[in-house]
Amino acid sequence: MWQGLTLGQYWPGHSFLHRLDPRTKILAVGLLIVALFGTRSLTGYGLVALLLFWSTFLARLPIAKLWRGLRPILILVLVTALINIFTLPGEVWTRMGPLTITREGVEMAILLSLRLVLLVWATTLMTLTTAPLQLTDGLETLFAFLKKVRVPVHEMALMMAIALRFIPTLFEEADRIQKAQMSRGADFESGSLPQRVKALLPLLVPLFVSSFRRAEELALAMEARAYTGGKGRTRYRRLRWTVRDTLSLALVLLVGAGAFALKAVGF
Amino acid sequence: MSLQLEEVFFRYEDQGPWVLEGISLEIPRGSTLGIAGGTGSGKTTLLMHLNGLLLPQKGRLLVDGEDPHDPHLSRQKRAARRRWLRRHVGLVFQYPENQLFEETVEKDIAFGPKNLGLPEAEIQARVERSMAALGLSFDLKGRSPFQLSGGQMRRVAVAGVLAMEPEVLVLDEPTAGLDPLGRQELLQLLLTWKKDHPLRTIIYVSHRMDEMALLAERLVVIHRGKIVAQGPPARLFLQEDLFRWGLEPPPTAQLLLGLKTRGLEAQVDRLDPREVALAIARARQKGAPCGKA
Repeated sequence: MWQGLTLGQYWPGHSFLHRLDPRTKILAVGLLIVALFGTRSLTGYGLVALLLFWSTFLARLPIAKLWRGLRPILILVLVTALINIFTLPGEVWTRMGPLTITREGVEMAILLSLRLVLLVWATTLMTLTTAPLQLTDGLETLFAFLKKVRVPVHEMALMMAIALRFIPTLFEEADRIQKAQMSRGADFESGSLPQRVKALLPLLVPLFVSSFRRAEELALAMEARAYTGGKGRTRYRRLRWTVRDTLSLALVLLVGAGAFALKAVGF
Repeated sequence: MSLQLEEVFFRYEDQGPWVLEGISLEIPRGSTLGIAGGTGSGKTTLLMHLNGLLLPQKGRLLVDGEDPHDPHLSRQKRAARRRWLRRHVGLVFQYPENQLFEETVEKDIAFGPKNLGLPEAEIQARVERSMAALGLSFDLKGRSPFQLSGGQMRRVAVAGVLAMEPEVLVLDEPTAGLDPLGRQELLQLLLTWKKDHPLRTIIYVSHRMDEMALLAERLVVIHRGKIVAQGPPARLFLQEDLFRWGLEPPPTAQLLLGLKTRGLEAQVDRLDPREVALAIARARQKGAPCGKA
């Protein structure tokens, strides 16, 4: 029950993509998102896809891993595509009973599906090649300017890092409690929906109790090691921006701008 | 109910190492079996096979000579048998107090019997019986389980499994983290329960050999997913080198072994401190020179 939920898990490696600064990867994904939402040109999407293909190759990831990240959204893609195909008004291609398929509908469906797939592809690539801690470090540095207006950026980044760190622990714990309750005759698999929701109580209550206990213990352990928040804190692993990062970001920027330009030209 | 494992293999990842590697084990009705092994030896994985939470990937589990996961059976029949198995093999997990969830002790203990669909009166009777079996005062009934002491929480959790009145009671390191007194009490309560129910089976997992000496009739040692030794605990402790499996023989056994190297051989059946003391006294009367040098 808890095994399938490994979406976007880090896959350790030393590829070019792995070694990029996390800030580069975050900014690149941000740029691509803007580009994907800003343009509706198929050729523009093709350009982005090309970049992603190349990056995937550079990342030397097992394709199965990437596929696992993409698989959960396929249903979503399919549903949006179908809705668009059948509901958009425009030049009618064929009629199937009460349903009509329009040219605009098909175009929109292709565009939206591509957009979704490319979005998830880009983010999956980022999470697969960036360790969670690096990711939060990157976010913290990128948003460091908000510290000026008293946003607790460091604390938020730390919270995120801790949350990420404890996801597998939580799943393990849930699995164990579920098994324990099943041994006392609890039934998580059958019954009506309200019954099933109610059946989750013996799982959720202990999970909450142990999470709170764990949080308290963690807080104590941190205080015992003199944690006082972000101010004046140094780092063991420093982020280093290199030429590689500048060049990569420039390339992504170029692709993004290209996608926009293609739209303007009318492709 | 008798359980039998036949050449059971299991692993958690498709290509990973086997966690259980050909375990064959017979557990007759009414027996008291100890399972010992260091951390990561596969003890807990083995236990989860006994009540059908995990299925063997190779080999099989026989319950009274029948395989509940028999692939020739229909899906429904297999599901029914699995439910049946879970009800009759009560599994007390490690740190069972982590599964408490109800508002009151009484309700929490009643959770299992309620799932069995028993009438209210029977549920009440079972709650009281299992509370009594674990030495819990009925005054605690209305209390929240989260307000109890660690030792009490542990006993309430064990009572929750006992209230299912399982034919086979499986306990995974039930004394871990308890203080010496709590440990002694829990062990004595389990022994009493066993004496009151001679036809029920206890399977007890621990890496504390003094507990095994007290409780188990037969001890099975597993190491890296394989059974490496089995027999009466006293014999194993005196004949096998437990240290190589990450275990330590109980103090009584170490004493006897030490005396043996100095020429005093005492015969014992059980490694209970009293019996060992008597055996040593008997051996010395026979005129063996000991400590007089």
